[in-house]
Amino acid sequence: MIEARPTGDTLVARAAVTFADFRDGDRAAFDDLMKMVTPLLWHTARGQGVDRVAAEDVLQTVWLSLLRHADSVRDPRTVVKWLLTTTRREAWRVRQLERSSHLTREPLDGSGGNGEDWDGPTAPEQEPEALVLLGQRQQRLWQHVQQLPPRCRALMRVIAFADRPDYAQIADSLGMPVGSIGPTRGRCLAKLHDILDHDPTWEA
Amino acid sequence: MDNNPADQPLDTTDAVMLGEVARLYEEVDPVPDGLTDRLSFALALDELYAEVAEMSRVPMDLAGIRGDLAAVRTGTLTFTAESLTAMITVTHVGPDRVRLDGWVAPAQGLPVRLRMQQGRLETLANAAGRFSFDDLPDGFVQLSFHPATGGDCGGSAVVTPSFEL
Repeated sequence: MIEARPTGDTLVARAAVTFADFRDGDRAAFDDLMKMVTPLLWHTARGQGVDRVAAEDVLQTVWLSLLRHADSVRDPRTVVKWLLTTTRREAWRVRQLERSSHLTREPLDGSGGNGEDWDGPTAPEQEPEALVLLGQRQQRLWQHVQQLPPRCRALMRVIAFADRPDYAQIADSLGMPVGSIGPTRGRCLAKLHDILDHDPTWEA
Repeated sequence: MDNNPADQPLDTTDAVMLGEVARLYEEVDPVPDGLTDRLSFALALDELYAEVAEMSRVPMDLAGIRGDLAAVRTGTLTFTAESLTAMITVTHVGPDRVRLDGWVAPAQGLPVRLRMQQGRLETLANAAGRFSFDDLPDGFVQLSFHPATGGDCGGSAVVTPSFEL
């Protein structure tokens, strides 16, 4: 377990202060907290493979639950961890519902995919319509990111919106093993470096 | 001696790479326009609630599943909480006007509140659990159900996430 001890001016630290303000009676602070953390939660939900409409519903449920259960978060420094964990669980629940209603299209294979303890998507992300509008470099980066194992991809897209001192706590909240990222580079980021190194047209 | 790249400390090349990943996802999968406004609306409810109902969309028009929320025609929604379940259907009755019909189970004559951007309405479900709101403007709404409590502090209300009419 990683201790929640945010230092300095990071998202986790700012969220802790804002959440503490809310609990001290500043109702408007809840809105500030929501605006602050929503991008991270958006990419968490989407990284778990729920579509954009369902991801909006997931975020609503998560924020309404925090408003209801604010007292149950004992230490304000763990509020981002609470939000990430709840988002991941809620996204997983929504995906299970979707799956059970699409059995004919996507049979449950029960094999657990790659054998890792991973409850997220196993296929590459759906190719976004915006892809054609991207420059060549971004198109290539998209293709490279899609080569990552799904759980690495889900981690990368959340970490990319976070501050470095928070990486380890965020990875832990996303159910990744200790050492996935921060303070060292970790397996996922090393793999992305490796993929880019093997692209002769990629210039760092 | 350890040359495993995964064990190296994070450095500036990592920061640059992650910055590019962030810009990529901002392009291909941005946080939807107006999402924080919609969340603010859902969170602005001023009543105590015991439960947040889980919302499921029952798509009527399969072609409408993909794309952003604004493009989805609301048909039928179900709400599931521990203390009750509810189902609503939304029917377009005119330009920008809708009618909302609902059923709540277990059937009980309980107050149902509808919060809109323009204000708030309240009705009573009948003994069969049916309720309706006629001729509503379109936009985002949020429902809350208020079962009778056994004399407790009234904190038994169930709220729904907001949804678009």
